[in-house]
Amino acid sequence: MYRDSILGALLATTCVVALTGCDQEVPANNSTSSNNSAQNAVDNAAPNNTANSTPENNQSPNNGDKNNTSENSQTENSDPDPPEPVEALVPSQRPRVKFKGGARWSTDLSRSLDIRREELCKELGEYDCVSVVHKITLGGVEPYSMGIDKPVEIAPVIAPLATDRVALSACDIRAERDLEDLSAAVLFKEMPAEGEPSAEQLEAMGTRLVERLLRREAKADEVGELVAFWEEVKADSDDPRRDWATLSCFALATSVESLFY
Amino acid sequence: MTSKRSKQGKNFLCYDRRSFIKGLGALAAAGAGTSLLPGGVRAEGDGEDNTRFLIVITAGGGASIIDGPMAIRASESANAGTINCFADQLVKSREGSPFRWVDMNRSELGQIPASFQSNQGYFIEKHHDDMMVSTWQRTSVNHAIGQRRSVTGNEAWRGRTMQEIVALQHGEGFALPNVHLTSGTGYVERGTDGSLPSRVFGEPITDPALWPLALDGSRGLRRPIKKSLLDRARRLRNDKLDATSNFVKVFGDAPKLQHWRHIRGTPQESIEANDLISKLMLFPDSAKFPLAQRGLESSAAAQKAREVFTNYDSDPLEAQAALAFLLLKYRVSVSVTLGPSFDVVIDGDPDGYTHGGRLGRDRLLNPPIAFDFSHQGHRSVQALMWDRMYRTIDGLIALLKSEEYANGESLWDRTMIYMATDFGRTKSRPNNANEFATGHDLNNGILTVSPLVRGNSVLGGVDPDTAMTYGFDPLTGAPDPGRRMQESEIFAGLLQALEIDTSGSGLPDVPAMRKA
Repeated sequence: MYRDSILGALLATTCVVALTGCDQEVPANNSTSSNNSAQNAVDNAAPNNTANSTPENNQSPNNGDKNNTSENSQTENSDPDPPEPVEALVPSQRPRVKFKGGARWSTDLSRSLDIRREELCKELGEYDCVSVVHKITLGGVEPYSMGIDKPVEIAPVIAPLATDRVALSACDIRAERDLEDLSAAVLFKEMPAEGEPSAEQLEAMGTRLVERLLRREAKADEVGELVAFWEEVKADSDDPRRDWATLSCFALATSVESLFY
Repeated sequence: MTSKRSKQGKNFLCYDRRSFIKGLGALAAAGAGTSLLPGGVRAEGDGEDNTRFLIVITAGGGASIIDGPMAIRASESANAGTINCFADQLVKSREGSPFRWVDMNRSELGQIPASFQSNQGYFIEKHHDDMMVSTWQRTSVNHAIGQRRSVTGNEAWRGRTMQEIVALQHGEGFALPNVHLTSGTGYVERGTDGSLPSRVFGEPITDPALWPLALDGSRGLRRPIKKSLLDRARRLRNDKLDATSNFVKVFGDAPKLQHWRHIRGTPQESIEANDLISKLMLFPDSAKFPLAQRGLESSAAAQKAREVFTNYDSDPLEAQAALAFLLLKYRVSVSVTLGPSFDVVIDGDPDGYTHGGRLGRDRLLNPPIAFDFSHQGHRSVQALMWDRMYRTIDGLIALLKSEEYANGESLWDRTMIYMATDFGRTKSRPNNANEFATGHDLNNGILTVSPLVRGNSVLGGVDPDTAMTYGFDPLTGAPDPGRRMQESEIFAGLLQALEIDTSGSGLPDVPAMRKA
């Protein structure tokens, strides 16, 4: 939530300062007031709106991107000769991001996946991944027993491996639970009990994954990538339903957008 | 290796393909037991392999050199009753060697009712040819500052630490060139030279038992994912989702994002491809660490390390030392830093106090605040801790001597063990006291054990009337009672013995510390 607010504020600022094609200024105080307003700021600053006006995206209306407001659609439909798309996003001149750290990220993951924090990942089935085994690697401190009272300044080389392990474990727990009882599924409700999911079913699950894990609305292109990922998994997996569910979740949960703010 | 400058003007050094291919070759060679060198896949004519390894063992709290190899005999001093010296019969030495030792058998450690025996003689008998003591005058009696200056020479080379310098010069292609097995001290702080590549900064290992689990993204998990599938998911994430992310489009130049996206690329691939999760798995399969249940196994070389460091499961220092050996053996690191913590370590169940209210003999492995417990009982604490350091160093030497590096050379032939310490301890004692408290003193000396240094030598000396050490000529090594060695001089001498190119650094040349 905090990440979203900050991101929203920054992107809103970017929008106001840098966008030439943004006709909807977002007051900074709005962007920090709630997740929704932060998301609005992202949506307005991000290329979603612009991207939606491109022919490529117009050909895929059922893209799960809820940014297609009726207002936008009316504008597009009523203008036979839309203006050239404008590059909406401008790289920050002073980009500063922070690593969420194991504690904050795992709390997000716990809420996104609806799994209790202490169940997410246990190394060797015994030792909590986040608060014990990879605690320092993931930016934690342990002043009492190790004398470490500041997080590591630079992410250790093995940090991405640690986040991979936590996310794989957590996502696989969610996939296992959902597929065991689809009627109570949290993320993968549309996965068929047998056989292959349809493109629409994959799209619905992909959209939900983005919304739950990244706390914002999904973009058409990223959902499209998740849908296309099914074919890759199917070609290489003995259990493609579970592997697609686990690995799609994993890819989003370990994306930099999920890990940094 | 290439240095890239971001838009923010910060340097990021990335491993290029060549560096990593070299690293892969080094790891493969080490794993296969072949004679390939860390630069083993270099093109012909790349020149002589001068890779060197540094082990910094930290004597936190202040290891007093005159309670170790420079002990003073009472008969030598005009002030024997009031300076820290020993009865003549207690101070032993070996013919042909300048080193001395005092073995002790005591019933108390300061105020702690714990009896112990300490032995220094066996170590000097075995290793005197590789031992070098060099005196110096420190610049701080603050623990954290003294610790830091012991590895930076008082910021002598742009604030770089010795470990970073060794990793920079010798660690190219090594997966984790600079590893810190100990934590929370000035010995493992990052240096202040921001121009160094991030790969040379210390990689923290806080638990040798569980840390190796983070050396693979999937193996050992409750349901390991097929590697090819995991690779596909990573490509989806790295090349598609992140690549098109608005977050990355706006903040992609942030140094932390660049670093993260870099390390999850080739460095991560290198670690997994070389099966480091198996090679560095120190602990055996057990109920406490059910490796087999998760499809994992202990390292093939770990048994050897565990046989030397038998207390690996109860003494963190022994576990660190055992893992340090594996890191060097498998050419993962060129610099490792280990050391006792400031916590009490008791061998076995603390119920040893049941022996008439006393801790069982030799059960106290580490006193509280390590060498600094000399504030409570100098003589006994220094004896116990010197014994502890000697035993750890002895075990490491034995293991490194047993490993061939190449062409008949052992790993030990290329290694330096530097016993770094905060500072010295005060030199005085109450009249003829056999146990007393000491404070911090700038004056001291250090022990280095290595075939790369001028062995069987004490560089400088000690004035027996004051117990203060004095220096030496940096060129010849001749004792110079009117000179005190600066931290930068000793720092330079150690680096040069490790074949570090110090030209342009402003450091003095100290050939006296190098093997002739």
